[in-house]
Amino acid sequence: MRHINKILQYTLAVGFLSVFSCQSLVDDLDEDPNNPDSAPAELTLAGAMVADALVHEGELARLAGMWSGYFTGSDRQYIGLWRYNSTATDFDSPWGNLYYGVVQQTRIIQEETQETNNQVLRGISQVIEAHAVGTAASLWGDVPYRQAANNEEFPNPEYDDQLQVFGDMQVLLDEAITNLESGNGTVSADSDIFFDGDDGNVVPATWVRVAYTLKARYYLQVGDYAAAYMAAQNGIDTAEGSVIMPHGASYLGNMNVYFSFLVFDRAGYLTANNAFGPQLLLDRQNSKTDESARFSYHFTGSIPERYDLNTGAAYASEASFPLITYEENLLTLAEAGARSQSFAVGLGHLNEFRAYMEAGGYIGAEEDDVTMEEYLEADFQSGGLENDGDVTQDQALLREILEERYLTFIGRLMGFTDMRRTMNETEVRVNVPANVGSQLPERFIYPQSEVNANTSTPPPVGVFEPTDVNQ
Amino acid sequence: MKNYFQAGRLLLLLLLFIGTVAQAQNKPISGTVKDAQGDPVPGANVYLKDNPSVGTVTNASGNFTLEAPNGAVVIVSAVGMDEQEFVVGAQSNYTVALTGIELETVVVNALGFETDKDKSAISSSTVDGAATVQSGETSVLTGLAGKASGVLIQRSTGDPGAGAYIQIRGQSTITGSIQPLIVLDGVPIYNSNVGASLADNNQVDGVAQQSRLNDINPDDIESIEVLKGASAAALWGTRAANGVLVITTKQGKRNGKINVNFRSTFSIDEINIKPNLQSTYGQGVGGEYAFGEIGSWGDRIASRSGEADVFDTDGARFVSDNSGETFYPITTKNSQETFLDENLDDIYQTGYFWDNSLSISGGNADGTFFLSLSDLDQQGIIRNNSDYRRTTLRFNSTKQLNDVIGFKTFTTYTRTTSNRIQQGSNISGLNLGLFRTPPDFNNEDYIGTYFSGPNALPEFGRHRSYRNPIGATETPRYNNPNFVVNENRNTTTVNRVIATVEGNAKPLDFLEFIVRAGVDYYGDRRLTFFPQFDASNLGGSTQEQNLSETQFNLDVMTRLNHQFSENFAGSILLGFNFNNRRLDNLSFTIQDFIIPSAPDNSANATAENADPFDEESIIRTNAGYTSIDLEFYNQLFVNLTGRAEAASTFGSNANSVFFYPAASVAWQFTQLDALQDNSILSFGKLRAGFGIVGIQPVPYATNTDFVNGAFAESWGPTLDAGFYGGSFIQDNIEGNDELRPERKTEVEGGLDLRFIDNRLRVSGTYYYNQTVDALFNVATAASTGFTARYDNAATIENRGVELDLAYDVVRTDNFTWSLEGNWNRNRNEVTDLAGAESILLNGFTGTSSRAVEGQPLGVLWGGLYARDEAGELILDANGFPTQALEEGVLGDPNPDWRGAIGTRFTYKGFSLYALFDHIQGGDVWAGTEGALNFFGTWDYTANQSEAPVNLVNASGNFIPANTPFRGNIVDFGGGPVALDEAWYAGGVGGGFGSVSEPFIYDATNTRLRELTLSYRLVSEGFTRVTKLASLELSVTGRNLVVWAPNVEGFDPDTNLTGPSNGRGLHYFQNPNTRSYLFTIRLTY
Repeated sequence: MRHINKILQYTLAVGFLSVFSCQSLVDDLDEDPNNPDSAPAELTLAGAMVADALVHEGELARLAGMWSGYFTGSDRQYIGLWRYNSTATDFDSPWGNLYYGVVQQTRIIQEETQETNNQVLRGISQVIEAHAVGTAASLWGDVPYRQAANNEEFPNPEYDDQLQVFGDMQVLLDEAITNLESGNGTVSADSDIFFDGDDGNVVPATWVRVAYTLKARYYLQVGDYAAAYMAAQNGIDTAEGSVIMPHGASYLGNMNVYFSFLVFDRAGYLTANNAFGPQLLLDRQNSKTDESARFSYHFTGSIPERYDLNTGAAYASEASFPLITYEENLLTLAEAGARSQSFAVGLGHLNEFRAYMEAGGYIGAEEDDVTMEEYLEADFQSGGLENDGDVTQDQALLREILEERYLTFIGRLMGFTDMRRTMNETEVRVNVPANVGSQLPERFIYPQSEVNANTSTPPPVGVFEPTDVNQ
Repeated sequence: MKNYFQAGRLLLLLLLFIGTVAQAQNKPISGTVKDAQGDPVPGANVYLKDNPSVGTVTNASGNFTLEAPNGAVVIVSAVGMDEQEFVVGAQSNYTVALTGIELETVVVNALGFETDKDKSAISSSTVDGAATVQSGETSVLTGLAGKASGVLIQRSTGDPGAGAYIQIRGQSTITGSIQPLIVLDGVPIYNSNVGASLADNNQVDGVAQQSRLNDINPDDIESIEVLKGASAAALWGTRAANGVLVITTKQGKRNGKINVNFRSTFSIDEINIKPNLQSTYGQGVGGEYAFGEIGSWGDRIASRSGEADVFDTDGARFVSDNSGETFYPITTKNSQETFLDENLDDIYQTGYFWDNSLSISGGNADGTFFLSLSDLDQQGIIRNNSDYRRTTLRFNSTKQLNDVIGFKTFTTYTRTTSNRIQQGSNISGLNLGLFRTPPDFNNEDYIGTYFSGPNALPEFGRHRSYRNPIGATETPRYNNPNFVVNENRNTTTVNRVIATVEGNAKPLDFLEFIVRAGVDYYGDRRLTFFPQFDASNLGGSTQEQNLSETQFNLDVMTRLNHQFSENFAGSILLGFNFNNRRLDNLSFTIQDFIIPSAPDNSANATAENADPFDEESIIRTNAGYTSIDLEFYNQLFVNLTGRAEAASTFGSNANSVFFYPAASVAWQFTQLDALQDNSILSFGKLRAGFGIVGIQPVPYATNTDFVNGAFAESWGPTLDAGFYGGSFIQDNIEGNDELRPERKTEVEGGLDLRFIDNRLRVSGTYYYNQTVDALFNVATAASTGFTARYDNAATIENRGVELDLAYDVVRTDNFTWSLEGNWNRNRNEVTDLAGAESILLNGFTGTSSRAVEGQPLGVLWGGLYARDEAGELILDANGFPTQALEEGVLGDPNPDWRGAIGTRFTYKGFSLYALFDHIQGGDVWAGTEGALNFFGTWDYTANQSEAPVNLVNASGNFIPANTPFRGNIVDFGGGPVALDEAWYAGGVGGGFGSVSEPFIYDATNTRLRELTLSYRLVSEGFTRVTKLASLELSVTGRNLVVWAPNVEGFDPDTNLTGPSNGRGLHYFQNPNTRSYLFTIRLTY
């Protein structure tokens, strides 16, 4: 037995010696030969913008579209979703893209630009972040913001109060404006998908206007109409100043997300069969308004049972997608103006919008195709074109502006947001009918991934429970 | 390296010192040891009974020389043979004949060395190479099915060359590979299924990928040792957590004669279970015919007038390229014709393969050779582009240069080409379009020219399908199955070389040096081609992929053995292992062809539609190891092993070296005096083992990467910043510099008994293992900025029992009847998942196979019906179930137990063999059935029922009493309700409803896996006339009968997600097959 012990001892000693001496054989092989471990902040910006576009143009927009009466779920799982049968897992993917794709990346840019002092880049990244986080707060209510995207310090980010997040967005956008106006730094054309680095202007004025439009959007959402009107006056003032996601013909590359879904990924799932929105477009014709061009821009089909999204126009492969736009800003001015200033101010901005549409507008129509003549005060008085006597003149104008907003936001998240914001204004709101039952959805559900992995996630709230700002 | 030689020298001195005891009156003797056939037995031990330290080992010719005193008793023993002894007398030359005891007496250990099974404490199953050949399976892997206890083999599909899933003693990792390590002739080789695993994000669609083990010619295999326990496998450290398959290939015999073997097998294959489709109702919706409609909820076909259909011939039309026939839109459907069988027959055929295998082998005292050639040419049961061809060449040789130095070489080359078929959840897939086709639609004409009006210009190459019946749109919505089999191409061409060289030096009887080096290389060139107007690639798409993996493995070993006394012997092995695995993947994808008909070339698309891709990785492992065997009183056997290992995949903040110890003990208690020569109990052995094995992290997970800014949403659409000027963003998976290997610790105990002169053999093992630090992408809340972190986080337990039984019921000269069986059960539980509720292993957003804390691994997960606290369904106002807010566990795909029984009768030259296997329990998600309910093509959706009372349907509409309707009557607890179109096509638990619960079935099944009748002619007269040693003819039926009482329309022995970690999913994968094989085997 003694011999055995000796053998064992020798064996183990020799074995260990050789392993440790050979450890060097495996060193330095953990560097990934496929990917870098850092990237210049400027190069990260386009990624954050793309993620932000997907969040606003993708599944959230389609779901919101079905829940806002624009579209219909006609096949497989979309039938259930159209009937408001959604579950927490439906939101894992867009929430993930929103937080890791946008917030995490913009925070990285903001940290990097502290060192390089590229304030313009930081400002743009702040606008993108505010766009995404504001959308999250609008759709889900309380959401992580202050502790978000800071894994080392906050592995379980707190959910901030919805109103606080909207307040924080105003602060963030003000910082963005300060940064953008500082004149420090630049962004190259390659890194800025939307404005090519604002053509190298020292102060990227286009981005400043975008920031103001977003400020106005968020003031509007919390019902601060005066502040919204103020902000919107500095907002986007030309169609060219709109943040619009450009698209191309490449599937899984730069193809319009609606087109990809409608034609490549899930043909037949999403239609506009019997939907409320397209019918409203056709039903609101009057002597000053002909919406057939806008209908054809969005939809095809001659009978309501067979309405489809038009994959040759608004949802074409190369059709760009509106994110923060001139038309939104005009209609913010109109609504906030009508609510906080005067009938005349509101009407003035509405007519500004109508004139823009008459000239082709955001649908890029030929001038002759669109009829949107100027409205006069008389049109809103009892017995006028837009008032059969059921409401006051002010209400009639507001009703028309809200309807205009509803139709302008076809396919965009803003339509869903407006619907929920005006839910209690029964006399002026757009009367979107419920797809099933009598209740309209008021929010999206917290994703399963948060429920599972973030201990700070609030208890589940159903889709029919209004968020704080809409209560 | 130097260290090892020093160690060797030290040990050598040590053993020399204690080992040599000289005796004065010795005389030289010599001799030859032969086996029962008269062939020399090399490596037999020859030693003095009184002084076992005096001994030698026979050389390659079976010869030995020894100095021994007159009258001494000399013992001759060899592995797998009965011991013999002789007394040294006047003569100086002795011939000793050893006879085998005709049992599986040899086991091959983890390092490829043969040891005596009766002295081994490890639990393993030995499968004879011939048994896998006889099974009729073209792959070694599937050939193992039912032949070893505790080993679950499940095929992906019946496609030629498709891969298979192997699971030994339960799943013990979440996202790591679940495949055992394959050690071929002592060297690890690849059994990759690149493209089939979770990591490749190719889970529920695409083609069935091959298992690389399929590249081995089953006819080249001598034996397969399935090392199940950690104690047996621990010498392979982090590569052995799923067990080890030790495969030994054939060598020539040293009998001075050339042996020629030729085998030719012809097999006829057919689809074994067809889906249950209805042909009562036609295309349409709401009970009315609708041209081009998605579902088959139309009118009753038998109620149609039977006259010709009425067409609208004034507008658009389609002229078929296939038949020249012109198709117009149907305005009134009158025809009663149905095409269910025709549509299936267009796609499915009787497949076949022809497998020819030739080997020439021989050898003499100095060396042997084995040369083989084989060719397998298979046409699948799916017409046209489903085939598999494997050609192999092997040359094995041994050469003994002198008494000290010898070499072995093993070289094989394999070329595999295969055409595969798109399957699964895939609108370009085969069965998805086929099974959804309404029974009154004929798929035959699938391509042609479309005219949008009477005088319109032709639009060529349009794809006609049931949803695009005159090719009016560019998209067929679902591919016509004829288009899939005729136009899509998915080829793979694999060239593989495995070369192993082993050098062996034995300067002294008790000392041996072994150097073994092996290279395994394969290159796999894959093409995935979708023509223009393919449903998911309207502009066409080509992907070409060049994938290769290269593995280099080096072992340097020293082995010492010594018989210390009659009652105590020992051996020790010291080794060093270096292993390097390199993967290269270069590919490109183009879409939207410039010229649709141009050859496959990356230039056939605009620059923005061309997407190159490349990936490389290196995983390097190196280790030192030792194995010590001790033998006491010829009845107690102890094996201790240890491996210390470092690898490139460990995090920089983790330990750099991990130690994998193992110990096993076997006690042959029948060697006790009291039990010796017992007439009932011939042999008894108790064994126990303990071991630790591991699984390495995936490479390059230790740092957080920056990656291309591409984002996908769950429904498919993707935006890629590469199309917007390019961007690098921080990855959504956080790097982890503390990564360490998963560690699986196992203890086991077992008993091997043989009764009545070894005629009844029983063996049982109980094991328990626990994997800690199991690696997976721990989902993190995206609000932290990452969606996942790859981490050592889970704990999994398996425990189970394995039983093996063999009984030679009748054993006479002319007639034998034997039975063999195995049974095992495994219980698995994920005991800790680091707080994660569930982890997707594979599957769909709606239904998937997952890891869930407190549940067995792989449980089926998805939407459930809402239930109250008492477990009763919560019904809506109409009496229909409602959907639970949260998803949950639907079922468990892990079987309760599995067993197999084989029986063999031989009478003279005849032999009849049957193998049944049974899988008890285990759930499967019948996703195909679910989907086809939605479409109204699954058979029971066409049932005609009559409402006994006023019945409400899922839309809340009433079906008046005594009215017949299409559908079924079910009582969910609130009184009978009607399941009709409203339920199947739109209800919560309907075909595409949010609840998967109705489609979970118990997959219990029994199959007659194999039935073989053979006749072997070996008579002397035959030999004299033909010069052939033997001729064997056999007929085999494979998978002849499957009884699966609760599952209809498919074989549960297939899996949508192939050999991946997710199981129990059925969704339009290609079907399984049944075969009839005819074999002739000639031996010269």
